[in-house]
Parts: sequence; C-alpha cells; structure tokens
Amino acid sequence: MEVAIDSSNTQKFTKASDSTPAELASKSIIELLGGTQIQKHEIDGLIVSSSSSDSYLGNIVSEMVGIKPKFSTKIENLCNSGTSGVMLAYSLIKSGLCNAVLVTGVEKQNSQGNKLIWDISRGQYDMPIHWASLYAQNHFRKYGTTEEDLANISLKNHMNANKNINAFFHDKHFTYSAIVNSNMVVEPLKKFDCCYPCEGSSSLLILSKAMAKRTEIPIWIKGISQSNQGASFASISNQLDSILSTRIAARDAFQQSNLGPKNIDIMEIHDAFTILEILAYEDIGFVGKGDGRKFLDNNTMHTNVRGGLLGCGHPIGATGIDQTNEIVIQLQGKAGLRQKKDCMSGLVHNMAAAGTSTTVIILQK
Amino acid sequence: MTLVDVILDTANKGTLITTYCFNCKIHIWPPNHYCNSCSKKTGFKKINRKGVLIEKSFSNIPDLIGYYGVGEFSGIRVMGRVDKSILPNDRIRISKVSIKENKLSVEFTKIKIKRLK
Repeated sequence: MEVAIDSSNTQKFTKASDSTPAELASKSIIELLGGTQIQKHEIDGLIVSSSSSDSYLGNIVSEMVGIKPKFSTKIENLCNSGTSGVMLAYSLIKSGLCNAVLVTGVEKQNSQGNKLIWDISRGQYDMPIHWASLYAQNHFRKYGTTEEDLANISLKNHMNANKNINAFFHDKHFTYSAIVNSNMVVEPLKKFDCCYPCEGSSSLLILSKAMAKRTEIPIWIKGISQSNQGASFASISNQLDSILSTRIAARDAFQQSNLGPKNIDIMEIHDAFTILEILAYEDIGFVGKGDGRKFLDNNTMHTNVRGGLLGCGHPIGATGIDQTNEIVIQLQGKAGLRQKKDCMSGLVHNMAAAGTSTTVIILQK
Repeated sequence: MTLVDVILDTANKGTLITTYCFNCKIHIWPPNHYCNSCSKKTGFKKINRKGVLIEKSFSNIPDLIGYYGVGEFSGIRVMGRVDKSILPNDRIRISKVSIKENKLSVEFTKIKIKRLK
C-alpha cells in the first residue's frame, strides 16, 4: 500500500496568543479541509502532535472540527513530535487501518517541551543550548569549523524566511554583520545561531493510494525512518562530532526509498542551532565527516527554503509538520515566492533532545 | 522517594550515586530498579569520581556564567562546571557535588599526573 500526502496548511508562527492548543490546531485543520477533495466524513484518523500538557487533545480537536475518526490520539516526542506523527499516520495507512489521516502539530510558546527537565545528568545546564554548544566546540576543534561558517547558515535561513509569510522572522531583515556580531550566548553559539521558541500550528492530510488518486498532485512517501538512541545526554556514546540517530534514520530511509543523497533536490533540516545543520549534512551523507561547512559552497541543493527553525521559529509540536509541509508544497509547485524549480525528490530531517532521536522522510512527486 | 529523589538527596550530601547492576557490573542511567541489559534488580553505587572531559565551553547565561563541560565517569556522562585550564581529553575528578535550585551541581578539577624523576 503506497502512502501519499495530499494537502497541507500552516498558520503564521507568532508570540503567545490567547488561543488554546486545540483552537490553534482546529484553525489549521479547517483551512486545510477547505482546500482538499477529501470530505470530512472520509477522514478516519486524527493525530495531534504537541508537547502541551492538555489531555485528550486528539478527541477535543476531532470534536471541534466535526470529524469522528476511527483513531485519534496525541503524540509527543519533543522536537521530533511532528515527524513522529507523520510516521504514525503512515503506519496506520500502510497497515490498512485507516485511509485518510490528519496530522496536526501545535504548540504554545511557553511549552513544557522547551526544557528536558527529566534529564538530571545535565544538572544546571538543562537549556538545550548547553549541549548544542558542546557539539559546536567539538566541530570547531576537530574540523576547523568557524563562527563565520555558522553565521552563513543563519544568514541563509533568515533570508529564506523573508519569503515565507508564516515565518516568525518574515519581516526581520538581518545582515551578515548583525548575525556574526550578535551577542555570544554559550560559546561559540551567538544569539542568531539559536532558534526562537514560538507558537504555531501546521497540518497535513495523509492518504492511501486509492484516495490519493482523487487528488490533484499527491506527494508520495518513499521512505520514512526513525532512530531512537535514548533520552538523556548521559547515554550518548559518540564523541560529539556526529548524531548517530540521524545516520541510522537516513540510512534506513534511503534504503527504503531506493534513493540516495544524490537524488535529493530539496531538503528541510532541523536547525534549532546552526551547528546542527552542518552536522546533518554530514550525518545524512551529503558530505564526509568534517566537511559540513563546505557543503553549501560546493553544490546547489536547496536547504531550509521555508527558513528553517532559525527563520521560522520553533513551535515544538508543529515544526516537523511544517518541515514536511514545505517539501510537499515545493514538490507540488505551490510554494509561491519561494518556489524552487524542477524539484522531484525532497527530504525532511527532524530530531530531538541532543540528537537522541531523529526522523528522516523522503518524498517524491 | 523516587530513584531520582535518592540521587539528589545523596548529591546534597556531596556524593554522586546512581543505580548499579551487580550482575553486569555497570552503572545504569537513567536510574532504574532493573538493569537495562540483563533485567536483574539493581542497587545504588557511587559513580567513580575519576573520569575524562569530553568537551567544554563557556556559558554567558545569567547564574551560569563560566566554563562548563561534559565528563564521562563510569560510563555515565555528567555536565558540570570546569576550570579554564582543563582541556578536552584531560583526566578529571568530580571535586564537588551539591544541589542548587533543586538541580544537580557538579564541579570537575584536573587530575595532575605525577611524573617519575
């Protein structure tokens, strides 16, 4: 059974509003439903991806948007929640349990997912930047990556966000000088090397092959894989120059799709911190270990066209959905101002909590 | 008390412990009543104070300003405050364990290697 993504919707990422997670999710779903051939009564699955503490969110949202699915749940996997939701929807359809599954990611700005309080081995250094900076220091020391390399990633993604009206930093224009000279937060990561936690919602409609035939431009999930290596920084056994879960998830997703890095035209990378984009280039297999900083100089691959987490902001449960949404609309030719030409295959990379888990999705027109 | 409560309570008295499998002879993290390898019951054991600094950085976050790093001790990685002179791959010792704002607070110092004359 082949699985496709039909349509998608993202609401503008913002600072905290008065809306509840359920209200944010339902707004995105209702706008999505307005643009698809699939009828409400045909939707038999609903997954809400969120780190919100709200209980029974799947059923609450189902009732608010007027659907009565066979299957409904909330899924939580920190920053990897959205792509975990896509994987669950894929599995429900692949198994034949469902035919049309809505996956909605939603987060409030003050989400409890912004810190991994459970991991006491991090002690007082429980803000994510403290582990990301250790990865960056390691890469600088071993491979000669520089603050300027990181600033180039930040500049690219912030400039991309200027073409995305849903991005938090859509209206903010930053220069290279402003980025590279911004305040040092934790060495060597500066203010603009870090994403901004915000509020937002994003939705996808995932379909069986039979239902996808009724849609205009279905985008097929050719490979999807997730690797989970634990939950705590204490258990990570690598030397901080690689994200093992990314290497495993990418390898398995490529194998499943019969495609390789050379076949990818466009990708969305988890760039909660600039160094993570460089590590992802290496761990997905686009370049060798240590060469991540050279990747953008040597090829024309479209990366983080929506603006990445750096330019869009990071509403935890919605991020993986919006990343997938971007590749879907790019392959459908519906990306408007930021549309890239001739894209046939795209990749989504999303991860959580110091790289303890990663999902990689490969999509094709 | 939960296992984490026991660890934090002991840390408050200056000692860092976690669960230990006496069958596999390994420390278990995150703490659990059962070994994640052989599934036998665990007990508590001190984490070896001697280890290696994996990486370090400097934090400008208020209340945390200063050098910090991640060290590996008995196969367990812990983040703590370090001295400027300590470098990655240096042999280090957990010199101080306490609780600050209900969080584990650890300090590492460099182990000086005595050279034979």
